[in-house]
Amino acid sequence: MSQILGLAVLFLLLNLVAGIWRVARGPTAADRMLAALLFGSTTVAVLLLMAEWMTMPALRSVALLFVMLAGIVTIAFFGLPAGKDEQ
Amino acid sequence: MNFQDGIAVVLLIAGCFFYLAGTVGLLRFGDVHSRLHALTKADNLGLMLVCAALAVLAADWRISALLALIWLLGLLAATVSAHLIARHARRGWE
Amino acid sequence: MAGSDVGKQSISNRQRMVWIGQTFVVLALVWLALNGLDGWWFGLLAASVGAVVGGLLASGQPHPWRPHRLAGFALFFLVESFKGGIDVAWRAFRPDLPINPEFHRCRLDLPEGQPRTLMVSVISLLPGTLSADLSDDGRELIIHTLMPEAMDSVWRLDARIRHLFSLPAAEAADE
Repeated sequence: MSQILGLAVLFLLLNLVAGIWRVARGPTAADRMLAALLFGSTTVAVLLLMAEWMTMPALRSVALLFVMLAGIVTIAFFGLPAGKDEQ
Repeated sequence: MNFQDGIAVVLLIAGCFFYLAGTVGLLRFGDVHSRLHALTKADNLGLMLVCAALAVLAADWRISALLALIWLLGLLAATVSAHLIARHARRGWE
Repeated sequence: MAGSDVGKQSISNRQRMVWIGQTFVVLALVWLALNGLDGWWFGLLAASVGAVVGGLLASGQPHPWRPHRLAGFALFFLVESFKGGIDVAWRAFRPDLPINPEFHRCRLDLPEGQPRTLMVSVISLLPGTLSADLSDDGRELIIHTLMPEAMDSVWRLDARIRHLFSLPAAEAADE
């Protein structure tokens, strides 16, 4: 089982490497943010798999923190839609 | 390998497949919005399947609840990010 | 024209209380998932503070959901997100890339607050649709679709959300 978990981690990391191509190529800034989205969701899965693979339960808490930060980073980058408090 | 491990492996492979699909869509689709479709939908399905596989492996309700929470938060982060990125791609940079 | 009726103050206060109660239950469950029963009294305290502060600070009118209808909505959401993922994976792997991206405008009749937020968020996970922009007054949503027929599921989602929050059904308006 642990080899399979390791293979899955490797596979997801390779996925991430392929995503870097999109960051490098762009063409727009939104495309680069897309890669940040990919990094967020893939990293969470990798952390969770490693928590099981290496029997390090603390990594699950890292994943929880990471997934919260992934949302906040985009909001910080783009800002919330304006005009929410009107009416 | 027992039955429980078998289910987990199937779920894990399916999850990895959807992660791959998300990346392929990210690289192949022609415009920013279509790429967003690929990433949000495929990656979240991937995360759900990976979480399900790990929940089956752990066979512990606390870990399963934590995994479900992580998945839901990931879903939330992905939809909010997707909407904000799509909005900026449409309106351009201010 | 559901919601935003000024005359129904007593009903809206009761709705706010129900909403605070629901938020409390959700927060307490999250605490339980993270911590188990260690320090349960602190968890209860934190959940109460979170629910009351959330209820008081929530902008606009809180819309309590029906707990027994949440399961149905969750199932609908799971099935649709599976379909969405499979659909987009199929389109990504096909050599001829069968996508036909388009923007659609549609009017949002859902009341402000949780129903509208839920609608805008969940649309991005339905097959072939992505909420791309919201007009500044929040009444008009711009949806990006991968194929023209994807808009059907948006109206099904609208009906589901109305059911979840016990809102009156509305006539769909696609422009």
